[in-house]
Amino acid sequence: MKGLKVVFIIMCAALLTLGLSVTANAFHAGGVAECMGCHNIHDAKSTSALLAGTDISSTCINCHGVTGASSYHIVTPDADMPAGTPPGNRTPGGDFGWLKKTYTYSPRAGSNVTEAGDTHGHNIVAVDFGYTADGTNLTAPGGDMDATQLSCNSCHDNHGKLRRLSDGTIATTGAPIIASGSYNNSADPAAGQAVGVYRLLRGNGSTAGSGGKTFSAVFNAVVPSTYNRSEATAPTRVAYGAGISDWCATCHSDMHSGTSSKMTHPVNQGLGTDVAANYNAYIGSGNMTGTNATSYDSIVPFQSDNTSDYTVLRSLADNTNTVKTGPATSDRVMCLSCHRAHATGWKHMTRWNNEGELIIVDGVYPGTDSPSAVGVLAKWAQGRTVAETSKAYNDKPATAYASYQRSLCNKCHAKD
Amino acid sequence: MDKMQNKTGQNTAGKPIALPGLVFLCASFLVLMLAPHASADVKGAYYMYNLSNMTGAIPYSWAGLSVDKNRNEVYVIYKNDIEIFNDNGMKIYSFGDDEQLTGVIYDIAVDRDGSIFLLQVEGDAYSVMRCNYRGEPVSQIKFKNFPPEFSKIFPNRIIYRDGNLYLADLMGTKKVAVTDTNGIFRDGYDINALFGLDEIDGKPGRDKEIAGFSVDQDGNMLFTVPTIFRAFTLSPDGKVRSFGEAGNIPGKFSVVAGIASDDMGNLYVVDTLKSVVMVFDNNFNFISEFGYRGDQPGNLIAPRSIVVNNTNIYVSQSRKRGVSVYRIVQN
Repeated sequence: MKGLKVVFIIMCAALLTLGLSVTANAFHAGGVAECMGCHNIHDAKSTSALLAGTDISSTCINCHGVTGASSYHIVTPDADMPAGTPPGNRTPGGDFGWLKKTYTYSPRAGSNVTEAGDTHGHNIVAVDFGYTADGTNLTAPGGDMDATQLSCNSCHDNHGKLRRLSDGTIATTGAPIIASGSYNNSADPAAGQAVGVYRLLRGNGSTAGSGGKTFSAVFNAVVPSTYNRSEATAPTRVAYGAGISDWCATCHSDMHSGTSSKMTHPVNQGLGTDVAANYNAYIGSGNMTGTNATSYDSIVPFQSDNTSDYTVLRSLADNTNTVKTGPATSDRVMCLSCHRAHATGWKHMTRWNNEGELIIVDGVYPGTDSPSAVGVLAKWAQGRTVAETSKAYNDKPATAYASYQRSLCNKCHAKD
Repeated sequence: MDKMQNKTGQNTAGKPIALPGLVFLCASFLVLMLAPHASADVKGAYYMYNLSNMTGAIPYSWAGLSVDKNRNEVYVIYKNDIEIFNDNGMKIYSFGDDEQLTGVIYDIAVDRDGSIFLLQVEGDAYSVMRCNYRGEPVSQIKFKNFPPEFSKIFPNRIIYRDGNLYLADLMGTKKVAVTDTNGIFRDGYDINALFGLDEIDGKPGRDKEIAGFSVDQDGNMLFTVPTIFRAFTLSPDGKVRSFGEAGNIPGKFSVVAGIASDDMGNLYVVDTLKSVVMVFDNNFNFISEFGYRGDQPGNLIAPRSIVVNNTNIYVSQSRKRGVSVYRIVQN
């Protein structure tokens, strides 16, 4: 009997130990990370937030900016980007490393062009890693946010308080966050539970981040669980839902057709019959034989209607070439139809090159080292190697388009 | 021994060693020989200088590091340039940023004969190029006899130790393949399975990136996994040991990165967030730490990679602060 008691006590102790040991939730599992992953509680050298990095973005890049293109990396280290070598990450938001890629070329005799790296994306300030404020825009284009305040946490709530509850409500409290809600394999939260919002992005109810902007829109989206990958054989399809453009307009209100008095490209509006038909038919310049069933192009994504139904969004997020359907007339154009959120290989952080007439020549991506006598011409190569040009399209093969492919504005507008 | 004598009730003093005693002594000897080498008394390290050329300290940011222990040289991998430094920290040679190498150089290893192995990536393929001591390509290593479960590795680190090349895929498959210097497969390790990464915290192992990797003088592999605040050692026969827990105080882990060992078996773990290098003995007892965030020459800002050669410790860091060199202080 005494032996049984001892066994019982040992079992209880073991259960207690196990029970306590599995509660840890490493880093951003949908919510706030391990405190010690970012803060130095008693020996911080830098800021009043007890951050161990010199600034907020430097603290983020400690983990998100290491060598190797994989998973949550969104900054290629300088050491891995010699001249002619592109940043390696191919996340939907893009690699901030493009901000360090300045290109100089002479498109025609007597004409020299310098395309500064800081035109390629959002210029977060991360002193430890040599990222400085935008050299041209002192405030956010179309807004008044001080460019020197732009950091990762201007858009992302690094503490991840915003959550999606079991009834679909987005709130900063109400139930504990049990996991990420960003992925196509993320489970819906059960009653009494919540999942994190897409990419810990700020939204309605979040406090203001660096730069002082308060978001009133929620960014509804779902991404495949493997997303930092080559798109050579299958696109990475992010399912964008309601709120995308309104969310961007928090800082860029004068660039949103709904809030600007200026003539600006429409966003958050249905594509309508003509544009949807163009998108679905368009395969490449001079080729309008596509159909809705296979017309999706991750270089020119669209917003799925105005939905915040995560069952729908999860079903659309794909990286296996299974979901290839193009838009319906009610699907919407959004800021991210043309831009990436972090940075791209192109000026004005567009998804494709808008600084030239053609993006593919002689059947290949142009580049200073192109084997094609046409592709090597400076007006097409624009100072980039073939590897840089290709990577800027997430390595989507040039053969996916026409041999002389014009701007992908034509995916919707079909003027070529 | 007293207890033993009391237990057996015999006094062996002045008598030939009895058989049980002989067995005990042999067993003790074996245990001592097989146990990890006792770490030397290391107190810490002091800063000496930064790796430099004739014009001064070189402002690398997060450079990759490798060491050639046979020639006491340190290799820095930076923007596809390989720069070689003598044991006084002075640059003596460089190669790499030329037309002969078409890929992006990820890492480098040097064998005992001075052959240089460049791990490079081009597009979505990797290769290892054997170069002569000048860095001139000699031949591409043709990997052979890889079992199917190791055929899809995509290594981002390469280390040479005692006739073996260790190809470590720290981000994708999380496997290490060991080959000879001709690329013939010798052994393989599934880190995800061996460390049980899938079971820790209930998150997939693929989300637990391995940041630091090295191989000690006995062929034990050393790893850090920052998202779970832990370091691991893996012996050649597959025995796993681990240590580390989250925290800010000395000896705890915040965002750990590079890991290396000295010839005495002490371990050096870089913490990028705390901006320190922590020193542990080979039983994982914390000894001291050095560096600390700051602008003074001996300080570190976001350190990342580390290698140890004899009594010198080399640490790369961000903000163009280059590679700092420290000297191990022994008691």
